Amino acid sequence: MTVITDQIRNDVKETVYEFFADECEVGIDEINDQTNIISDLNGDSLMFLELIEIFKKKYRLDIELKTIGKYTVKHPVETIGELVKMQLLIIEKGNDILQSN
Amino acid sequence: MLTGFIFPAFVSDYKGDETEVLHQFSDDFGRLLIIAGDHTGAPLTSFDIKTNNFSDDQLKSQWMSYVFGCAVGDMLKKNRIMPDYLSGYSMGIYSALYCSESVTFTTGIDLITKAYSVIQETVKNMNTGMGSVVGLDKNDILSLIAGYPGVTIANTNSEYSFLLSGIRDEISGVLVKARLEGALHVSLMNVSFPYHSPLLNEASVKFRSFIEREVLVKDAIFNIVSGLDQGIFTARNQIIDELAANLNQQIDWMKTMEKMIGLNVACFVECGAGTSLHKTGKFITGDFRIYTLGEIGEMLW
Repeated sequence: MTVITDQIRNDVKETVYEFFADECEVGIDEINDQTNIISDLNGDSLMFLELIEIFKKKYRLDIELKTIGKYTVKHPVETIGELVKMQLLIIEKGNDILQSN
Repeated sequence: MLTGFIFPAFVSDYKGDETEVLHQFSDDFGRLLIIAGDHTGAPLTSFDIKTNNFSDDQLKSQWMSYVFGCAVGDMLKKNRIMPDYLSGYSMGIYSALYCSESVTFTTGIDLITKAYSVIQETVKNMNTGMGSVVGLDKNDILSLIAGYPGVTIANTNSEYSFLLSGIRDEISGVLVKARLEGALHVSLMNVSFPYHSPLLNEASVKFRSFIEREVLVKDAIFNIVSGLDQGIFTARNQIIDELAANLNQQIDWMKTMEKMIGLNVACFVECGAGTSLHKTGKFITGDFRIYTLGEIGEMLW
């Protein structure tokens, strides 16, 4: 288990915001936690995959993609805020993320 | 540094600025659109890129993708940017063949139209389609479809991105299971034909016969990399083989890109609208860059 510090929290949020601002060609000030990834940003599943790979490298995470996929079945990720929350849980719990409520 | 031209299949996600970008550099798009409209008898000049008003018409969508692909290729060639290799993703092969001067522009349209027609006839009594799965690997996909004889892998985009093809209800079943198995995303695609599926074996035979009897196909002036088996060819007979097999055999885009990267292609140009190949390319290993239409200015100036 990794302890989530404020630094990690801020880094994850910044990374997610900057990623979607860049990929979706929108101003970063147009993104907030309630922004819907598909309907507001025209995001897609490959962006999601790419972002996961970015965090896996950055935080040296050893988590299976399928585990993340199964998590999102029970906890759909539709907004930027939900995505940030999920990424933080992944960093914190790794493959144990499925045991989270 | 070698250059590869890669031609996307029919586009469902336009960026919206493609025609503007093309107009900055040449009049090829407008010119080709008029020719295509006259040749098909369809009102192609009424295409609205912002709303993608042809999205529910597969044939018109394919014609439009073809026009974009051909226009980008022409523009690059006029600016003396030539490919060392080129390849078409699925139906992107038609604009690839035009670019390599193997077929004329209107012949390419005729090929698309005929392919559509023979496929439509072949599947008229079937309910077919395609689906997309992101987040599972090939072994997972093969395990899932093992219980569904009407579903096959149509394309391997990358290690974790696949297209499936076949009987629509079975595809739906596979997608549900894929999601529960942990796929990050699954979707039924907005197409009704099972491209790159053995269900189109009969269509492939008819298509080949049509080409051999009625179509002028010349040797290509550029090396073409097969999306099917990654072979490299220029000869007319090989082109005909590829055209026919492109209907009913699976493609492996990941291997096709890896082949070109292995041949020292480091600069790719996505010759068409949208950015689908650029996005897919992010999951392919290697030291290369894919320029999209919006970035072609960097290449030209």
